[in-house]
Amino acid sequence: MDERLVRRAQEGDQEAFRSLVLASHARLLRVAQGVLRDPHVAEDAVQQALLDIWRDIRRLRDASKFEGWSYKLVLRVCYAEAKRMPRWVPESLIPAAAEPRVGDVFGVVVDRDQLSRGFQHLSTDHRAVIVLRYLMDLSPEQVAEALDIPRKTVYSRLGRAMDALRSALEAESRNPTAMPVRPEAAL
Amino acid sequence: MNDERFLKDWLRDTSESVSDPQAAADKVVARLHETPQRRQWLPRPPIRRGQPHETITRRTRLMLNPIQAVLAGALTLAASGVMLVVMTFNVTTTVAPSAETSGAGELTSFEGYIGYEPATQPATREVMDNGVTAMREQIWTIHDAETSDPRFGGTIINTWNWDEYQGGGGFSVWTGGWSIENDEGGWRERPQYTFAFPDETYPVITTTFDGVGEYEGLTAIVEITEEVDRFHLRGVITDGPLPPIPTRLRENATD
Repeated sequence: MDERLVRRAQEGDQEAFRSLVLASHARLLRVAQGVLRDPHVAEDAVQQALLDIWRDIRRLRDASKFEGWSYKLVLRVCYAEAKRMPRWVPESLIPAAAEPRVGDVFGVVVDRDQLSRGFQHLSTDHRAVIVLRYLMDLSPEQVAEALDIPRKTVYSRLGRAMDALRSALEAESRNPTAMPVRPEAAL
Repeated sequence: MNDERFLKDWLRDTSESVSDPQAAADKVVARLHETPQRRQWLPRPPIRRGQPHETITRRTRLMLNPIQAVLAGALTLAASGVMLVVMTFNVTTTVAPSAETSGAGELTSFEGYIGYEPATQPATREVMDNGVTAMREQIWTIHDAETSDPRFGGTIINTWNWDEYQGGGGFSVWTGGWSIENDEGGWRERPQYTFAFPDETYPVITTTFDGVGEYEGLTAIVEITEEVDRFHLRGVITDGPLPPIPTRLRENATD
């Protein structure tokens, strides 16, 4: 990320901010899509997050930390959006896997559709840590910064998230048609 | 294929977007005019060491609203009525002096604002072994204090020490305080520890000031709320003794 663009945006330069948006949009959208699992809601979340970034960018002391800071802001919006989303997500709205594959993973045999359904059962906290670590390939330190949690908590939260996903997939494999969404995980 | 690899592939394949970044940027930029930028956050602060408090400004603005004025009038009338009754019946009341007694002194409420000003002395900055960024001896001088009580106005100097915990969720812990000076006297904040949120905003703080100079013996208890480009103050000034610390807390303190 060009720190000069960040500093110019801090001075109110809208063109510089536009360049920042172009450079950041895809990255932030991946995070939002990964967490929210709904392309339309994710798009709206990123729009709002980018406006929040513009509003607060002068409060970013270190321009080199823009990328991590922007994750923090987009996740903040994702959390708010997740609270507003319906508790039950019909399977028809779950993105279908483009190329279903079968793997003997998570202790059970699952395909991508099962994984989609299993992921729907995770809490926003668990989704966020998985997305940052496994989709965005952030280091534990970067995940900690984006989530405002200690690095040690990143490891424990990631472990719990994977356990929760395994449990969901096991339940799914036992009874594929009747896997209720846990209220606290229902976003 | 292990769990992690399978999950990564699935996430990557299902989190791609076909969104047009140019169109998205256009939408965002079109809304910037309705999204004013917040000012750079400046820590709440004061005391320029070894330097006299030079400029004394006292822009006082009465901020009592009509309802408060009516209430104040009613209280005054009520107090006068009580005095009249006491005088008529020649009743005297005596309160035995006691450290435990909280006398009812005069209490005045006030409200006002303190604006931001650029720092007059930047903090030293050092990253400690534990990753904490330690900022020390930041000093601020502010000439823009407006309160409804002229006693709580004047030049304000703030100084603070600040520890930023990058690995602790981004919260910071800091201590410091305001010093206020005007023609008659001044105020010194009792230092306390508090924190700042990861986005460098403050919680609402209630703090205590001791009067100096002409205000010796007075105490101001003030609520400080951060706003976009200034701090909002609400407080009371009292000349009476403050309520004693509850016995249980005092006993615990001496354990």
